[in-house]
Amino acid sequence: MSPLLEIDKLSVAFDTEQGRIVPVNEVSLNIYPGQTVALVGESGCGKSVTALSILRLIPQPPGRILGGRVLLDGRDLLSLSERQMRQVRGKDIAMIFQEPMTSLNPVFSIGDQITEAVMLHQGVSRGQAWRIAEQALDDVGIADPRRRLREYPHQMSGGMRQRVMIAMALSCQPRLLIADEPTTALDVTIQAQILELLRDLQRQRNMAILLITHDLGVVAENAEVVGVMYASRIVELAGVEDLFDHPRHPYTEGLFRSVPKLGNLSERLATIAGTVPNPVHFPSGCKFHPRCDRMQGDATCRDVEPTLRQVCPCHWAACHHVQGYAQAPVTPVDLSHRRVTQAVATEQPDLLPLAKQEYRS
Amino acid sequence: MSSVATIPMDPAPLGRPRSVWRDAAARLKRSRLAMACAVVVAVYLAVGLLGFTPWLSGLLSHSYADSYEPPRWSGSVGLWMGTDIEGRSVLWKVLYGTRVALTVGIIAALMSALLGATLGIIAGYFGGWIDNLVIWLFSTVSSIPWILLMIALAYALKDRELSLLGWTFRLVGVPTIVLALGLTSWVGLCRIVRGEVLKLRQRDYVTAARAVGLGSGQILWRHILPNTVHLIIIDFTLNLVAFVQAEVVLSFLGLGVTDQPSWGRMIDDAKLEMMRGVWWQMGAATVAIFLLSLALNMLGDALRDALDPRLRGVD
Repeated sequence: MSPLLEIDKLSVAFDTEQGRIVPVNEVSLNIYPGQTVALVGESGCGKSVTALSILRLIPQPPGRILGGRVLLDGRDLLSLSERQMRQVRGKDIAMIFQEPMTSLNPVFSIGDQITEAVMLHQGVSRGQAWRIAEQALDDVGIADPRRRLREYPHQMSGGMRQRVMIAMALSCQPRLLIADEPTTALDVTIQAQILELLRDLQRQRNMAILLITHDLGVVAENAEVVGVMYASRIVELAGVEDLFDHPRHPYTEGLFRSVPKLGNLSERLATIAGTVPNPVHFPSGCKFHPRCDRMQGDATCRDVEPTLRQVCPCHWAACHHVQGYAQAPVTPVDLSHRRVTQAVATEQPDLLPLAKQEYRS
Repeated sequence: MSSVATIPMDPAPLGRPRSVWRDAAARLKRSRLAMACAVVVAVYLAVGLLGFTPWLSGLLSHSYADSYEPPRWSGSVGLWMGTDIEGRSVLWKVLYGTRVALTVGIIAALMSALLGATLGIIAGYFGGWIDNLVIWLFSTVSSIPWILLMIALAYALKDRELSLLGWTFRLVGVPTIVLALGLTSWVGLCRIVRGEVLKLRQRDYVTAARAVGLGSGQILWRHILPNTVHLIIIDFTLNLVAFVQAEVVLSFLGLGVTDQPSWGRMIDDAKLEMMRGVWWQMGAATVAIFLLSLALNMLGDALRDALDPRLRGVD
């Protein structure tokens, strides 16, 4: 099986008044059909810019793609003309955003906004487009879609609007959905509903999802492959279970330590010392070294920036202090993990615990 | 129904879908004062249209016996506001003046809105050198004192022949004023719209529209322009008032309408008449301007309240 989307050493720069910053530095990632790949990291680590760059939506100028390739079915999106790119946007790759309250245009009914995308890509009449839009709303579980289509965004709650956004994104049957923090702005119960909805739709359509988030709980439940980003680079990449059980990079370890756990009786939550570095003045060497508890005065960390190496068969990490890093080969990252989804299992509760933890490589 | 569970998430809103425009219209209708002002403006519009009929110009050409006949409530309707130096009825003159005032106001305000909105939207959306060019243009225009620029333009354009799409017409009176006003007054709207578009283009729904595959033209037309329309409407109303007054000022200075009766010319004529105790020409023109300005200003305020995005609860 070949990947649907291959990101190969993508670098993006922004020219700011304080100088050039590089928020995305040689990021590589593969996404297979039906797979969910998560990008995790703190605010400002470059995960959203990566997502926007795939669709070439970063403002240019000041943004600029320095190098790399983004291959969709082997076709390099970065070399397409703007006109060809518009054919890809919405049709092959769709995107949903963090803020459902501002992602819909307040002056148009939601029907107008969904049919806009449908008519653009499917060449259907207005009437047919409305029927497709009605089906799309039905698919995302909105009751009475016919009436809802004529309503305006301000008549809906945040969760409803995010469903509308998903309906809009999926109305043209894209093969890849980029979800940029799709649930961050929603409360927890709505979060769970939206994520479950995305999982169901993904299963029905064999759609790939690139999930951008900083919520490790969301990652654990939804992703098959996880890339951890820190200061413009992917510092660790592995299958979700592997990563959660055996994090290799000190930053990933720090992230897990800083998640509150039920039944943990220690008084204070562990944090990662220091702050995210300013992209104008990234530290030399390993960008994490000023905050790292493994460094202990090591000059290598200070001077040499580690690149991703394959430290285990299914695990890549970029840290001089990972066991076996020095001997590990530099290989292209590629993981086709799929979570085994067993629709039957939900009807046979006894099998559920088994199904949940089963993976196929 | 799909396999996805439909969860009743919030109580279904009742009634008809409410578009922002319908909401604004409802808010406007609730205000008695705004409706009264709208009625006054409508009456002015009707009188203005009447000015285009041969009936009113026919009445105007009729001369009464005496010049400077004071207002008299008995007898002919034409004498209710007295007569001018040529023995023409001041009432008919003032009614006819509405035509000139509103023609100048509406066409110049449309021109100003078109220029200001187009330049503002393009500058704000595309940025870069286009933005710099527009900023340079409006900074230049606004650095010249407005009234002087307008007077200079009015002088320069006066009695010129203008060829447009095969039509040739002489710039006399109304077209001169319209051009002078329209070309100098778009700066304010351009600034506001540019600022608004700078804000709007960062909105997620614009990024979302791009992510769906829309081109720049479609985004400008469907997603940016409709969200600036409230600014354009308000600016249009307020410009209308300013332009009606500007016509008076220009005509008073002898730069405006010369070929037909207008409120400005009536006041210009009254300069000398006042010393002789002939107050009715001045009085009629002033009251006509005052009522229209008041109604339009208050309507503009009411529109601002009705269309203010902060009241729409969606910004």
